[in-house]
Amino acid sequence: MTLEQYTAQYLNQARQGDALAREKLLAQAKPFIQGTCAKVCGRSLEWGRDDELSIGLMAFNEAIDRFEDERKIPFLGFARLVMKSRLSDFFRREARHRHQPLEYQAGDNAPVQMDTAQAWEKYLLEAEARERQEEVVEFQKELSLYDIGVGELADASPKHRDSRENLLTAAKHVAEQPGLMEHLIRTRRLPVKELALSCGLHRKTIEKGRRYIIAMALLLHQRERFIYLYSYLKLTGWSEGEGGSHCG
Amino acid sequence: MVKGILLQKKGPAGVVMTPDGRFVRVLLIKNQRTLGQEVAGTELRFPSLLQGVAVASILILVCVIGLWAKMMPGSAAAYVALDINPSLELAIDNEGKVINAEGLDGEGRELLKKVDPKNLVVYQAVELLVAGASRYNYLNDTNNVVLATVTPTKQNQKVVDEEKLEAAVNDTVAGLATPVKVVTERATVQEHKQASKQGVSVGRYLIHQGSTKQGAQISIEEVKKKGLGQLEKEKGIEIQLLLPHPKLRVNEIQPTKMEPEKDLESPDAGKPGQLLPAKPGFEAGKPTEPLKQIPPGLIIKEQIHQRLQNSKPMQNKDDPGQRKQEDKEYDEDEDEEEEDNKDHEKDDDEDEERRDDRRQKPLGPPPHLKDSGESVLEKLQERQGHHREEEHPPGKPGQGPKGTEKED
Repeated sequence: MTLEQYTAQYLNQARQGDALAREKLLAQAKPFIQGTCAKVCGRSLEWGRDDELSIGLMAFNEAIDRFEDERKIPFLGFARLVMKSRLSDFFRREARHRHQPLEYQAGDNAPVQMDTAQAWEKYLLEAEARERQEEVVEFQKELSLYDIGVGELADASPKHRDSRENLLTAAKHVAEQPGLMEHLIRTRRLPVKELALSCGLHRKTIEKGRRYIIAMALLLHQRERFIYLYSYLKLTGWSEGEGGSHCG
Repeated sequence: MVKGILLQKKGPAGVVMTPDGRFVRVLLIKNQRTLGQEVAGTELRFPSLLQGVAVASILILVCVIGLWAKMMPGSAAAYVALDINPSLELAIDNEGKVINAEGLDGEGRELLKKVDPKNLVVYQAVELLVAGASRYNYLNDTNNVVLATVTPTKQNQKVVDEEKLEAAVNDTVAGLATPVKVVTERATVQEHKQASKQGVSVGRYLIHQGSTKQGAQISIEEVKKKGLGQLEKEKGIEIQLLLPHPKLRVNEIQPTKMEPEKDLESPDAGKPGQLLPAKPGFEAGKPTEPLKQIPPGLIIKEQIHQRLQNSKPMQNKDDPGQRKQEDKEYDEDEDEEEEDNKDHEKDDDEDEERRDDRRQKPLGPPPHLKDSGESVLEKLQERQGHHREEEHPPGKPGQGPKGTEKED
């Protein structure tokens, strides 16, 4: 099961006070927390060694409490935002620690705790907007590695629902089978022959929808990187469909 | 309206990703142009190449047709065939202007070379042509019939008014010394087609048809070659009787005086619509014979002679000396010849010979203009004014038509 599936399954239970569900969710989220924190800090982190990870875990826990569906932010994106903000608070505090005498440190926590709700809201909105923007730019960059422009994608994206579903299934196949994905990343080409075998589409169909398949496969494969985009997709039969079994 | 995450923007346009995994180009709404946000916009559909090609080809086709129609002269709304002796045909456009003039025989073409009716209103054109014909001596004693046949290309379209046309011809003809019979006729498009297939004018074609219908055989060849007046005289027919719905007017001619005994025998011989042999009581005294013998023709011929006598008293008919002189001057002096021609009854054979002469060698224009013809032409030219001034400079006395021809 993917993290998304865990969150979909356990988030509401955890929010309603199910300690076991919360525990499971946190355990599943550990790699995500580690990745996010490492990215924010700019270095690799290890459980049990780096404080940043515990800060991240605490922030993730906080995110479970503070999450609101109405915000229309995917939970993981929201959690990442919370983690980032907590980490930056932590860095600020650390920096102050280095230069200030010990006696001033006692009251330091107070201003952070007293963040007004308004300020938090504002921060969240701004941060989210920025993150979304960054994510889109990143997605564009990723696509450009494969010589795909967004405009081309719009031209290549199939208009008919059936053909779109076909290509999406192919993309899922690519994203879920490590061999295929690895081939794609290494050669920047779609393993057409293997893909045709595995998903049963005709070679020509795959070649025609090449750009669309690549884009979707990237999006699906790096779903933690493109949280907002991925969560926006409402792919039929994805969250609890055949996809999960392949992933293992 | 499409909703999706904005992935790219370029001015008012952008690309969004929709929840169902489509990437769509949209036209963005103002104030909603941050990347990564969910935005709404109207989908932009770019027509496919095939559609584009189709639209483009249709546009090009329309343009080409438009241009073509402009380049081509406006289609003829009616044709007016004019049979004097020269046969010619005028194509008339919607506004009643002559857009094309075509000679249907050699004489017709020659006349058109001398007189150009293009771009004139049809009535003026016809006047000009009739005047020209008389001036260049196509319209004379032998050929004293003008047949104008109007063929409207569309039914119920009145581009050319027959009454007016007739009036126009009559106006011109009124000034001539010779009596001229003017017949107008209306023909259908089919007849026009048939006629052009046979290479004759519609009017002549109708005469041929009428003659076959009523039993008097006039072959196409004859119709083609001979002038109408000549035909009338030779065959002893009256063309208006052969036409389906003619209108007849004879200028300068008092209603033909019938010889008393014939009047008695056939009181309505002269009326149109009754070809003479069809009348059972007609020529009762003689044994009934097939039409080819044309007994009625004789009557008509006599009538014509009578008519001529009436209209113009003979001056020199019994003067042999004068006669000889005329013979000498025959070639150069048309005027005299004109007079000469009046002497029909003197010797029919001689007359015939002379006609043949003329057929073989159509006479050029007379060295001296006929007074009457000149005046009519001048009148016309003055009326038409500036168009034609350079072609036929009016009012140059003493200058023969040959000089004019050279200028042309």
